[in-house]
Amino acid sequence: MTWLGFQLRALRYPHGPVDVDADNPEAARKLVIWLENLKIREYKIEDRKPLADTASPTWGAAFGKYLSDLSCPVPSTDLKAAVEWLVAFAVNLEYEDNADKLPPPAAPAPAPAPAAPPAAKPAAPASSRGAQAFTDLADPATVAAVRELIRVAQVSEGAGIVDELQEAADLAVAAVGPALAAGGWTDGRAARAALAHVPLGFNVEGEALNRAAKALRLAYVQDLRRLQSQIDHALVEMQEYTANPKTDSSLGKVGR
Amino acid sequence: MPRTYAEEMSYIRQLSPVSYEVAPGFVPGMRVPGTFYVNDSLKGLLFEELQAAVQRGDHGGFLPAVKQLANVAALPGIVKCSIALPDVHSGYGFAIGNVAAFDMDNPEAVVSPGGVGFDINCGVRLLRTNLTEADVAPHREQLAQSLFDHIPVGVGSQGIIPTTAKDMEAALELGMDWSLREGYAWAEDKEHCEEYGRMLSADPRYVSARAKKRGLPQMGTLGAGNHYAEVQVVDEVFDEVAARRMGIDQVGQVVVMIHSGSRGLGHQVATDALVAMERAMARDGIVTNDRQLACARIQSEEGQAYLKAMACAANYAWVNRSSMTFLARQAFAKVFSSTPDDLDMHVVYDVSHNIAKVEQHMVDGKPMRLLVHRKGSTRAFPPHHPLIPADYQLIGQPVLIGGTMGTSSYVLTGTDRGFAETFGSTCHGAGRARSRNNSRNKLDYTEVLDSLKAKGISIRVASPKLVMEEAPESYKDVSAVVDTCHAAGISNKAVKLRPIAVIKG
Repeated sequence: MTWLGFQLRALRYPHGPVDVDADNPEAARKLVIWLENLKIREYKIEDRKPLADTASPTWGAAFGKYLSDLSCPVPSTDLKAAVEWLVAFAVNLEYEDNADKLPPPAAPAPAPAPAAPPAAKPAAPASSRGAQAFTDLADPATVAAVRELIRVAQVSEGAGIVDELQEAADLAVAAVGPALAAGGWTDGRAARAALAHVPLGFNVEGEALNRAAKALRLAYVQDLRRLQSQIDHALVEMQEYTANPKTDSSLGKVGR
Repeated sequence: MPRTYAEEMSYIRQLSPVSYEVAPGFVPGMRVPGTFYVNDSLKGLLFEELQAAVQRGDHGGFLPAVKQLANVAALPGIVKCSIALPDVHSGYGFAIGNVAAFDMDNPEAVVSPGGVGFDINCGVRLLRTNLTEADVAPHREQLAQSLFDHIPVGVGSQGIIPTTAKDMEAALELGMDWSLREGYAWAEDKEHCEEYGRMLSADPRYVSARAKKRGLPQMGTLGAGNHYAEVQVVDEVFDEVAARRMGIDQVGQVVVMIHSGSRGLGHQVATDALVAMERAMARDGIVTNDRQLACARIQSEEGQAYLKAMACAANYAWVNRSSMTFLARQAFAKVFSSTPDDLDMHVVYDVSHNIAKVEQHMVDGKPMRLLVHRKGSTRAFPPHHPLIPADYQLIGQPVLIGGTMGTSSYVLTGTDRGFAETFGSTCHGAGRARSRNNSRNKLDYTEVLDSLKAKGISIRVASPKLVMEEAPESYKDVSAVVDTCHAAGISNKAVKLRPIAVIKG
C-alpha cells in the first residue's frame, strides 16, 4: 500500500486508493472536495461550490485559491504534491480532534492510525513526500531522527545503527502487530528467521528447497494438529454419553 | 579354565568418551556385539561388578550387567547390537537398562519376557500445573497428605475407583480408551501418551484368571518399590523451545510426576509366560547362555500369547496411571479450591520403561520390522517421527526420567542420532548401584527420612521400613546418567525438576 493510500484508509476515505494523475484529474478533484466537506471544512458550505464542481474549467483557479487560503506551501500546479499535502493536513486535523480518544499504539487500534509508522514521523512535518522521507541516508537530520527513534524505542546501543534500527523495527512490529488487522503485516523476515530453527528431519539440497520443505512440514504439522483437535472434540462429545467417573474412598486400603 | 579380569577386558573396547563395545567371544555364541554407554564417573560400577564376578568365579550371585548384555547378544534373531544405557544394572535375564531388537521377519527370532521385565509398562507420567512453588509452599504438607489420601500406596493397597471384573476385561482390551469412556481421563491425555495409551494387539483371553484376580483390586493404586508420586518444581530449563512447547518453561512451576506400572497383573503375566516358554524352548531347541533368558519364537504360539497378554498388561498400566492422574487432579482441586482445568493440569507426556513393541527401523541402510525390547529404557523418538504427537513433532518425543526419592528428575527429548544408534531409546532413571538387601543392611530409614525433611521435601510413606531400599544412596547419580545420554547425543536435556513432596509405597 502506498503512503497516500495508507493515509486515506486512516481517514476512512470511501472510494479506495486514489491515483493522482494531472492528465486525468477527476479522481483527485473528487478527493479534494471530499476532504473539504468532511475533514478540513475551511469554507462555509455555500462557498464550497467552485471546488465541488469538479468538471468546471475554473476548478484549477478555485483550487489555487483554496490552497493559498490554507497557507499550503505547495503550488497548485503540482497537483500530486498538493493533494498529498492536503491529505496529510487532513490527517493532522483528524488527529488533533481525536488524540485524546485514540488508544495507545500497543492496544488494538481501529483503522485511524495517523501516528502510525513512527519511522516517518521525525522527518515528516515539513516534507510532503511521506514515506519517501529517507532519500538521503547520509543527511545528518536523517541520522539524528533515526538516533532519536532508536532512543525512544529503548534499544540498547552499541550494535551499530543498522542493527539497532532493525531491533527497533522488530520491537515496533511486536508492539503494533497485534493491533493490525489480520494480514496487515506482510513482512516475511520474522517467519524466515523462525524457519531457520526448525529441524527438517531429512536433508535436501539447497537453501530455498530446504525452506520450502520446512514450510511444507509446518503446514503438515498444522493439519495434523487440526485433525487431532477434531478427534479430541469427538471424544469429548462421546464422553457426554458414556462418562460417569466415580470414587468410593471406603474401598481404599493403604498398604504396608 | 576361567578367564582373568584382564582377559575379560580384552574384549571391551572404548568407542568414544561415553561408549564401549563388547566384542563377540566375550560369552559363547554372540551373534552381534554389545554396546554400552557410560561416562567416567559411572564406568567404575560396571567394571568393578565384572571384576568381583571374575574373582567369585562361577559360584552364585547375580551375573554382572556386562555379561547379561552379552548373553542377550547371543539370542536368536537379534540385530545390530545389544545396547546398555548408562543406568544399566543386573536384572532377571536381561540387565535393566538393556535394549535389544529382534527381526520380525526372521522365523528364528525370539521374544523374551525377561527383556520386558516383570513390571510390564512400568512408566512415568508428568502433569503440569499453572501453580508456582510460592503458591504451593503454604499448602505443601496439606497437598502431600491430600495426595496420600487419594492415591492408595504400598504393598497390598487397594484402589478407590469401583471396578468390576467386567470393567477390568474392558480396561485390558481398551487401555486408556476405557479411562476416556468412563470419564477418568481427558481427551488431550490420550494424545500425549506413548501408543496413545492403548496397545491394539491386546487380547484379554490370553491373560490368566490368576493375573486378573491379582489386578482387579489394585487398579488405580501406585504400588510399592521404586514407584512414587511426586510434586516437583521446574529447577532449570536447558532447552527453552522444547520446554515452552511442553508448557513447563517457567522456573519454579509446579508439576506432578507419577511413576507406576501394571502391579500384580503384569508380574503374573510375566511369570505365566516364563513357565510356558521353558516348554517352548525345549520343543524348538532354543539354547541360551542363561536359564533366566527364557524365550520363544515370536511367531510361535507361546510368543504370540505372551505378546497379546503383555499388551493387556501395558493397557492396564496406562489405565492405572490415568486413574491416578484423575485422583491427583482431584487432590489438587481440593487443596487449591479450583478445578483441574483452571489449574491447567494437562498431561505433558507418558512414557513406558518396560515394554516390547514392533517398530520400523533402518539397519545398515535397510528398513526392517523389529520387535524392540526395552527393559529399563525409554523410547526416545526424534522430531518428525510419525508416532509422536502433533504437538511434539518439531522438538522430538519428550522423555521423562524419574530420579530417586529426593533427587532431581529430568525431561529430555529424542534425537535423530538416538534413532540411528539405539533404536530410538535412552535411559529411564538413575539405576540401582546397590541391591535391595545391601541397602537394607547398610542404611537406617530414620536417617533417610530426616535427610529428606532437611531438604524441605514433604514425604508420606506407607511402609517407612522399606524406604532405605529406595534411598538416593542405593542408586546411581541420575545427573551423571542423563549427562551421559546427552553427551552421547541419544537424547537432549530439556528441563530439570526438583521434588518438593513425595508419596511412596
